[in-house]
Amino acid sequence: MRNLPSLIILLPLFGFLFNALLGKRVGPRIVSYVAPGVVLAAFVIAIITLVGIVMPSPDHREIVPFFPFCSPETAWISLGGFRVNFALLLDPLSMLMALIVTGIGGLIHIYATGYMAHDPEQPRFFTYFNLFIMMMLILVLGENFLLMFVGWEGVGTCSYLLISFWYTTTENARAGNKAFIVNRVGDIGFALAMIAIWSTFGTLSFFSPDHKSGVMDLAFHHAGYAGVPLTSLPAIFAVPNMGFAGWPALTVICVLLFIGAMGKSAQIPLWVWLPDAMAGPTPVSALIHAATMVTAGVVMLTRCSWLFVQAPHAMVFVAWIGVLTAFMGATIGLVQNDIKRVLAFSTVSQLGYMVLACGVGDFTAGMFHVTTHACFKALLFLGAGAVIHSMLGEQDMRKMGGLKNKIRNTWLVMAIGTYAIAGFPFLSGFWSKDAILDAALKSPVGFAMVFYIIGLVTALMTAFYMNRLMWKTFDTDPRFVDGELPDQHHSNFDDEHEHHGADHGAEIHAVASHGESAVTQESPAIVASTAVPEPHGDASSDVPVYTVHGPDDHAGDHGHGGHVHESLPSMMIPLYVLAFLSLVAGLALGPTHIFEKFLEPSVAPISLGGLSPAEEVFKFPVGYIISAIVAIVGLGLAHMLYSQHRATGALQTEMAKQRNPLYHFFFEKWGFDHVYNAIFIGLGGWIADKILWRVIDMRLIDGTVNGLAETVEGISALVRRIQTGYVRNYALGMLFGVVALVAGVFYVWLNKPH
Amino acid sequence: MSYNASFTAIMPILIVLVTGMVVLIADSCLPIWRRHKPLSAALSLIGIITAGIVAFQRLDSGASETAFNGAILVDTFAQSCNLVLLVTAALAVLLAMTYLENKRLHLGEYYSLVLLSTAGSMLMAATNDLIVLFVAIETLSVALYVLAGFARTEERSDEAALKYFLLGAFAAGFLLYGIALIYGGSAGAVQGGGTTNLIVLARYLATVGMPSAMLMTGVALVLVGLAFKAALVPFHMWTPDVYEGAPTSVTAYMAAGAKIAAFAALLRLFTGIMPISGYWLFAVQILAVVTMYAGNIIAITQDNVKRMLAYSSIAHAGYLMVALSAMTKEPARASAVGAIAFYLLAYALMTMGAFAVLIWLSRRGRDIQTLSDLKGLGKHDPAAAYVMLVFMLSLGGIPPTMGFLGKWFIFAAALQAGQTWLAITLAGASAISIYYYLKIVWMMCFQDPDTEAEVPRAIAPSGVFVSIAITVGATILFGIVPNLVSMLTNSSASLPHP
Amino acid sequence: MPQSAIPNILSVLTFLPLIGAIVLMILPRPVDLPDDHGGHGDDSHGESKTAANGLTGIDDPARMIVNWTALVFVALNFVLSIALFVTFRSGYLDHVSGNAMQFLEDARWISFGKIDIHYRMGVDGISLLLILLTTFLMLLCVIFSVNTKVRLKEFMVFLLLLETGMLGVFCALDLVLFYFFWEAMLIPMYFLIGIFGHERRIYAAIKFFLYTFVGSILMLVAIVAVYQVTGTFDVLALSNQGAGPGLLLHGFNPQALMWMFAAFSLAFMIKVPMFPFHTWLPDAHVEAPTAGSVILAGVMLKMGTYGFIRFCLPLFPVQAREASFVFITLAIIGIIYGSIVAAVQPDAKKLVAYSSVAHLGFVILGIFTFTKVGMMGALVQNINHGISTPMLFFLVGMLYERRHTRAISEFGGLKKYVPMLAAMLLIATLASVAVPFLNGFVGEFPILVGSWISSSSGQWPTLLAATGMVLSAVYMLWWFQRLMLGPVTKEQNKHLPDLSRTEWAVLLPLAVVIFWFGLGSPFWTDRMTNSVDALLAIGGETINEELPVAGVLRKWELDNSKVTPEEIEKRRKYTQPLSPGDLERRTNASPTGMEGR
Repeated sequence: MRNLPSLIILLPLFGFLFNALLGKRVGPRIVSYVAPGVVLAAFVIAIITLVGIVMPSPDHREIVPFFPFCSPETAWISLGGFRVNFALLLDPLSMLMALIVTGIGGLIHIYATGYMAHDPEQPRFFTYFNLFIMMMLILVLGENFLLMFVGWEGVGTCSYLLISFWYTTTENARAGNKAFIVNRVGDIGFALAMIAIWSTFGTLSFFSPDHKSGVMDLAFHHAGYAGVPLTSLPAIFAVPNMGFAGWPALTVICVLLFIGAMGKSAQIPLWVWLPDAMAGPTPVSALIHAATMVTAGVVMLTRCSWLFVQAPHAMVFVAWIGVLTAFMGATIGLVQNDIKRVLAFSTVSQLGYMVLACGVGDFTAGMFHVTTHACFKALLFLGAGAVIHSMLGEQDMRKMGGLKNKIRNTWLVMAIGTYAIAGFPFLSGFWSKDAILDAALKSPVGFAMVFYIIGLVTALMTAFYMNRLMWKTFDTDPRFVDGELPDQHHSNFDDEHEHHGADHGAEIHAVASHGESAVTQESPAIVASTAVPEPHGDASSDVPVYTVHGPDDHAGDHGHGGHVHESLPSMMIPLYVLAFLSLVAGLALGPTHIFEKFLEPSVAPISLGGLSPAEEVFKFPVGYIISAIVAIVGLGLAHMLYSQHRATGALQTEMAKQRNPLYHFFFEKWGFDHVYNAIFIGLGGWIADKILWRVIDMRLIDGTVNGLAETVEGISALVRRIQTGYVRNYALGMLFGVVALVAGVFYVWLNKPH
Repeated sequence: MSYNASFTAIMPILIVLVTGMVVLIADSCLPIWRRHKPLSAALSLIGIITAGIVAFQRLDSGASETAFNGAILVDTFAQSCNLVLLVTAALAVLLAMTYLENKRLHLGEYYSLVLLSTAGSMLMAATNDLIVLFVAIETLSVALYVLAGFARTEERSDEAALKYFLLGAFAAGFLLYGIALIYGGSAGAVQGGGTTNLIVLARYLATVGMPSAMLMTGVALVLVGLAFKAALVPFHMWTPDVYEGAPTSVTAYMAAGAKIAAFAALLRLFTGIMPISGYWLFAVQILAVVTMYAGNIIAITQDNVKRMLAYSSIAHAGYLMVALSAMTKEPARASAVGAIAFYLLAYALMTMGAFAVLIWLSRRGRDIQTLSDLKGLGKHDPAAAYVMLVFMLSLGGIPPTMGFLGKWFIFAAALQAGQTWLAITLAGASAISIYYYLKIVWMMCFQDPDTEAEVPRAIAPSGVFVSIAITVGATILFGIVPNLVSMLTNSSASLPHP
Repeated sequence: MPQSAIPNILSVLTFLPLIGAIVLMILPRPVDLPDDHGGHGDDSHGESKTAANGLTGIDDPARMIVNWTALVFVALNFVLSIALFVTFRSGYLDHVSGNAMQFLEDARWISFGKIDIHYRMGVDGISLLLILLTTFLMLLCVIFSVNTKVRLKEFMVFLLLLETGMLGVFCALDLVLFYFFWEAMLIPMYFLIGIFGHERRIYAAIKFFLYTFVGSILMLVAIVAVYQVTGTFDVLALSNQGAGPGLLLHGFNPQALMWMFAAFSLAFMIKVPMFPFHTWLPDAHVEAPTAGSVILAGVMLKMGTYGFIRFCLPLFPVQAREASFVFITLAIIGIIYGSIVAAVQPDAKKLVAYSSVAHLGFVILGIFTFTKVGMMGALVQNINHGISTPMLFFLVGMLYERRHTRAISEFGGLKKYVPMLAAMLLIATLASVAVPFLNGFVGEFPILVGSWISSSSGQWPTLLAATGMVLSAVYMLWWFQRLMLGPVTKEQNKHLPDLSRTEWAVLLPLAVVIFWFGLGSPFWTDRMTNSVDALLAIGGETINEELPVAGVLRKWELDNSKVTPEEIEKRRKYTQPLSPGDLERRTNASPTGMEGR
C-alpha cells in the first residue's frame, strides 16, 4: 500500500516516455488515449491514496517512497552533511493539489485530444503535457524543499517547451524564453531560501517521520514549547551566517521563499511572463497558466505556513504584493481586446488574491481560492479555446460578437465561468473570494481596511471585465467584417510591425509580443482541417500553413458565420464537468467548512507565531452581502457599457483615439515590459557587447598580452640591427664588453671593505 | 711522477691527436685513400671510439689523476666532458660524409681537423693550468678557423673563417694578457713568483683576503677570452655570421664542441678563482642574464634557421652561466657541476641533432636557409618534421626530453645556491625562447608549402641517419631516465676543493 | 593499502595509450581524402552521408586499420578505468597517514646529487572520477573523429599521446612527475589545434601554449623551491597526509610560502581559466577541431581545478585560506562576466567557451569555501561540466560539419529538419542551465550551499553567484532559440541530415550520464567523501555543516522539557503520540532513521 502513491508520479512518467519514444510510431489516436489515460489513472490512485493512507493515518501525514519498493530514505543527493532523499509527503495539502492536478489536468487532457487532434506534432504536445503533469506532481508531493524545487523548475521547463510549442514563430520562442528566464529570477529566491533553511535547520525535509527534525517540525516545536516566535530564539543567532544582512533568519527565509513564489505565481514584479505565455496552445494556458503551475507559489506559501506565521514582517510584504498584484491585474484586464489575454490578466489578479490570503495568515482561504479558481479559470480558458476554435484562430474580441446563437453551449458554460469568477452569489468564486476578503479584514499584520477595500475594488473590476468579455464575444452583432480594424490595431503597434501585421492578420497579436506579449494564432492544423485541408507533408514544410489565412480570409470564409460551429464533444464534455464544479464546488466546501477541517493538519494557525487576528469590523453576513453587491454592480456596469455594439466601438475608439493617459497606462501594462526591455535587453545587451566583450576582453586583456608579445618582437627587431656584419663593429662591441666587464669587476672590488 | 703516468692519464686525448695526424698523413700520401674518402671517416671513427672506451674506463674507475706536474688534471669531470666531446666529434664525422660529398668538398683533412680540434677541446676540459688552457684553446681554435672556411668556393664560408679568425685572435690576446696579469697578481703564491696553476692559485687566494687590482684585471680578461669562445653577449657577435657561413656539419660541430670545451674551461677557471668569487660573481651573473635575454630576444626575429639556432645557442650559453654562478656557492656546488655536465650533453645532442636535420633536408646543391624553406615539411617529410620537433622541444625545455631535465637541474642548482632571482630570470628567458622554437614547429607542421610542386622526400644518408637516430634516441631516453647518465650528474665527485 | 587485481593498474592505464600511439606510428599512413574546405581536419563525415555507415565508412583499408587500432586502445583504457572505478574502495582511509590514496605505486626515478625524484602514482576519490571522465571522453572523441579527412593517423596519435599525458597528470603524486606530464600534455594539444584547427588555428595554438607555459614555468620554480624547503617532492608527505617532512613547509617563512602558493595558483588559474586569464580559452576552443574542444573543455580545464585541490590547498592550506577572498572574488566575476559575455557571442562555439568560464567559476567558488558540501559540489560540478559542455561541443561540431560555419546567425529553425539533434541539444542546454534531475543541478546547488555557510565566502557572494542561475538560462536558451527555433531563414538549412549512427554513438552515452548524474549522484559521490574529508582535515578549521542549528535546537528542546498543559494540548492536536503499529510501520519504512539528515 505504501508503494502505491509512487504510481501517481510514475504513471505520467510512463505516459511521457511512451509518447516521447513511440508517439510518432503509434500515431495520434493511440497517443490521445494514452496521454489522458495515465493522468486519469493517476487521479484514481490519488483518491485511493487519500482514502487509504492519508485519512487513516493518525496525524494525516505520511512519508512514502518515491520509487516503489525503495525506502523513503533513498538518497538523491548526499554530499557531506547535505543529504536529500527521494520520498513523497502525503498530507491533506499535497493530496488536495494532487487531486486538482490530476483531476482538472485529466479533463484538460481530454479537451486537448480534441483541440490538438489535427496538429501534426500532437505526440510531442502530449509528451510535454504528461511531463508537465509529472513535474507538477513532484512539486506538490515532494517530501522536501529540494524535490519541490525539482517540480518547480520542471514545470517551468515544461511551460517553456509548451509556450514555444509552435516554435516556427520567433515570437513564440521568445515568449518561452521569457517565461523560463523570469521564473528563474524567482527561482534564485527559492534556491537561496532553501540554502538559508538548510543552514538554519540542517535539513530540507518538511516533516520527518519522528516529528522532530523536519523543518516544519522544528518550527512548530519551538513555537509550541516556547510560545514565542522562532525569530526571537537566541539559539538561532548563536549560529554563524544565520540572519541575512542583519535580519532575523526566518524573515529572510520567508521573504526569499516568497520571491520564488513571485516568479511562479506571477506577482509584481515578476508577472510579466504570464500574458506572453498565452502564446502556447489554449489547453496549455488552461492547464499550466491558470489551473496548476501558477498556483504553485500559493501552495508553497501554504506549505511553509509554519514559517510564515512566525515571520510577521515577511507576511506584511506578501500581503502587500498580493493585493497590489490583484489590483494591477484587474486594471490591465479592463482594457485588453484579446480574449485570452483578458483571462491571463484575470489570472494574475486572482493569484494576487490568493497571495493576499496567505499574507494575512489565512492560508486555507488561499488554497480554497486555488481550488475554485482551478475549476472556473480552466473552464473559462477552455471555453475561450472553444470560441477561438470555432472562430478559426481568431482571438480578437473586436472581431467577434454574436456568437451566442451560433455556439450556445459554449456561451452557457462561459457564462457560468464568468459569474463564478465575478463572485456572483453562491457560485464557487463567491465563497472563496469572500473568504479572502474576510481574512483581509481580520488581517493580523495590520492594514486590514486597506487590503479589504482594494480587494473589493478589484472584485468590482473583475466582475466588470469578465462581463465585458462575455458581451463583446457572444452578444451584440457579429463584427467579423470590420473595415477600420487594422488602424485600430496599429494604433497600438509601432511601424516596424505594421506591414508585418498587414501580411497576415492573425499575426497581429503575435507581433505585439515584441518582448511585450506573444499571443499568437492558433494551431495551423485547425485552420488546415476546417478551412483549407492541407496534406500533412506540407504542414511540416517550413512555411507555416496558417500564414496564408489573412484576416480577410477569415472575413471572406466565415463572414456570415457559416463555418462557426460548436466544438467536438471531446472538447465540450470537460467544459460541462468544469461548469458543474464551478457551480457547486464553493457551496459544497465553503460554508460547510469541510475544506478548512480537511486542510487543518497541513496549515499552521497564526496563533503559532503569537499573532492574533484583528477584531471584526462587522458581523456575519454583512461581508457576504457587500461582496455580493459589488459583484452584481460590476456585472451590471459592463452590461450597460457593452450591451450595445455601437457604444462599444465608440468607447473603445474614443479612449484609443484621444490617448486617454489612464487607458494607455493600463493598456501598456503599467509599462513594466518597456522598462524591463530598456534595462535588461537594451542597456544590458549594450554593456555586454560593447563594453565587456569588445573593450575589456578584446582590447584590455588580449590587447595587453598581444601588446607584450609585439613589444618583445619590436625590441628584437631593434637589437638585431647591431649585427652589422662588419668585423670592426664586432671588435668594437667586444671592446665595449671588455671595458664593461673590467669596470664591473673593479666596481665590486672598490666597494668591498678593504 | 713519471711521464708515463702522465701520458697514460691523457691517453684518450693522445689517441684522438694521433688518429688525427694519421688521417692527415694517410690522406695526403696514400692515393687509394684519396679515392675512398670513407676510409678516413672510418679511421677517425675508430680512433674516436677507442678514445671513448678508454675515457669511459677511466671514468668508471672514478680515478682522478694529475699529469705533467699538475698542469693537467684528469678527473671524473674531465672524463665525462671528454666523452661528451667525443660524441660530438663522432657526430661531426658521421654528418660530414655525404654532406661534403654533395657540396663537392669531401677532403680528408676535414676529419683530421675535426680530430685535432677535438683533442684541443678535450685538453681544455682537463686543463689545470692557464698556460695549458691557452695552448688547448689555440689548438681548438686554429682547427676551427680552417673548418669554418672549409667551403672554399663560397664567400660566406671564407668570410666566416676570416671573421672568426680575426676576432678569435683579438680575444686570444686578451686571454694571454689576462693570464700574464694573474701570474703577476698572484706573486708569492709559490716560491719566488706567481702561479698559473689553478689549484695553487685557489689555495693562494684562499689565504689572501683581498686580491690585488692586477689579479682582478687578469681574471676579467681571462673571462673575456673564454667568454668569446663560449659566445657570451657581448662577445657573441661572430657566432651568427660564422654559424651561417660555415658548412652545416662544421657549424654543428662548432656549436657543440667549442662551447662544451669553453664551459669546461670556465668551470676550471672558476674552481681556481673560487675563493674570491665575491669580486667577480656579480659580473658573471650579469653576463648570464644579458646573454640569456639577448640571445632569445634576437632569435625571435631571425628568418634564417641557422642564425636562429646560433642565437639559441647563445641563449643556452646564458643558461649554463647560471649554473656556473650557482657552482660558486658551496651547498649547490655538487648539483651545479652535475647540472653543467648533464646540460652540456643535452645541449650537444639537441643542437647537433637540429643541424643534422638541416643536413638531412639539404638536397643536392641547396641548403635549408630561411624558415619558409621549412614550410609544409610536415606534409611531405613528416619524419624529418617530427624529429626536428623533438629537438625544438628539448631546446625549449619541454618534457619528455633532456632539455627539460637539464633546465630543471639548473633551476635546482640556482635555488640551492639561493640565487632565486637568477632562476626566475631563467624561467622568463625560456618562456620567450619557446616562442621561436614553436615558430619553427608551426612553420614545419602547420603551414602548407608555398609551392604545390611535389617535393621529393629527402632521403637521410646512412651517416646522417645514424647520427639522428643517436641524437633523437638519447634526447628522449635520457630525458625520461636520466639515471643512465648519472655519471655525468655526479661527475663533481673528484673536483678539487680549494 | 588496497591494490587492484591488475598490478600497477595506474601505470598500465597511463601508458597504454602511449603504446597505442607508438603502434599507430608504425602503421601505414592512410591517404588523405579530398577535403572540401580549408584543408584542416575535423570534418568527420563531411556531408555525413558516409557517416551513416560509421566506422567502416570509407573503404580504405589503411583508414580502417588506423581507426580500429586507435579505437581498440581507447576502449581498452576505458574498460581499465571502469575496473579501477569498481575496485576502488569507497570507504578507505589510511588512518595512520590520514590519506585516502589507493593503488599507490612508488619507485625511484631520478637521483640527481642529493635530490631524489620518485615515480609516485596513486588515485583517490578526487582523481578517480576525473580519470574515468578522461577515458570516457577520449573514447567518444575517437569515435567522433574516425572520419577525419586529412592526416587521420597523426590525429589519432596525438589523441592517444594526449590521453597518456592527462591520465598521468591525474595519477602523479610527485611534484616533478606531475609537472612532467603537465607540460608533456601541451604538445599534442598544440598540434591538434595547430594542424587540424580552423582559420586562425596557429594564433590560437601559440596563444594556448604560451599562456599555459608561462604559468607552468613559474610553477616549476615554485616546485623546486618547495623542495628546497622540505627536501621532498612527495605530494602526500607535503600535504601532511603521510609520515614525511611535510610539516617543514608550514613552518617556513609565510611570505615565501605565499609566493610559492601564488606561483602554483597562477599556473592553475590560467589553466582553469579564471578571469582575467581566460582569453586564451575562446580562441583555443573556437579554432580547435571538435575533438580538441571536447578534450579542452572536458578534461584540460579540469586540470586547473584539480591542481588547486591536489596541490594548492594541501600544500599551502594557510595561504589558501588567507587568499580565498581573491579567488572567490575572481570566481564570481568569472561567473557573471563569463555569462554576460557569452550571451553576446556571434559564434556558436565561442558562446560555449565563455559558458565554460562561468561554470568553472562555480567550481572555484566551491573549492574555496572550504566546506565539505561546497568542495564536493565543486567536484561534482567539475565532472558535470566535463559531461555537458563536451556534449555541446560535439553538437556544435555536428552542425559545423553540416554547414561549415559556426556563426549562430547562419542557423535558426533547424528543429524542423534535425529534430533528434535538436532534442539532444535541448538536453545538453538544459543540463548546463542546471535544471534539476539533470547533472548540472547536483553540482551547482551544493556549491551555493557551501558558499552560503562558509566563513570565507558568505551570503552576499552567494547571492551574486546565484545570479549565474538566471544568466546561464539567458544565454543558453537564447542560443538554443537562435539555432533551433523560429522560422528557417537559410535555404541550405532545409536539407540537413539528422543524426547519423556515429553521432548517436557519441551523444547517447553523454545523455545517459547526464541523467544518471542528475538522478543518482550518490553512486558517484560516495567514493569522494573520504578524500574530501582528508583534504579538509589539512590546515585546520572547516565549518562543520552537519545540522548547524537543528543540533542547537534539539539541545534547547531538552533544556526546556517542562511543558505546560495547554502546549501539550496544542501538540496533541497536531502530532498524536504514535501507536505501536505506526511506530514499527515507520521504522520499517525508514530503517536508517534519522541518520544523515
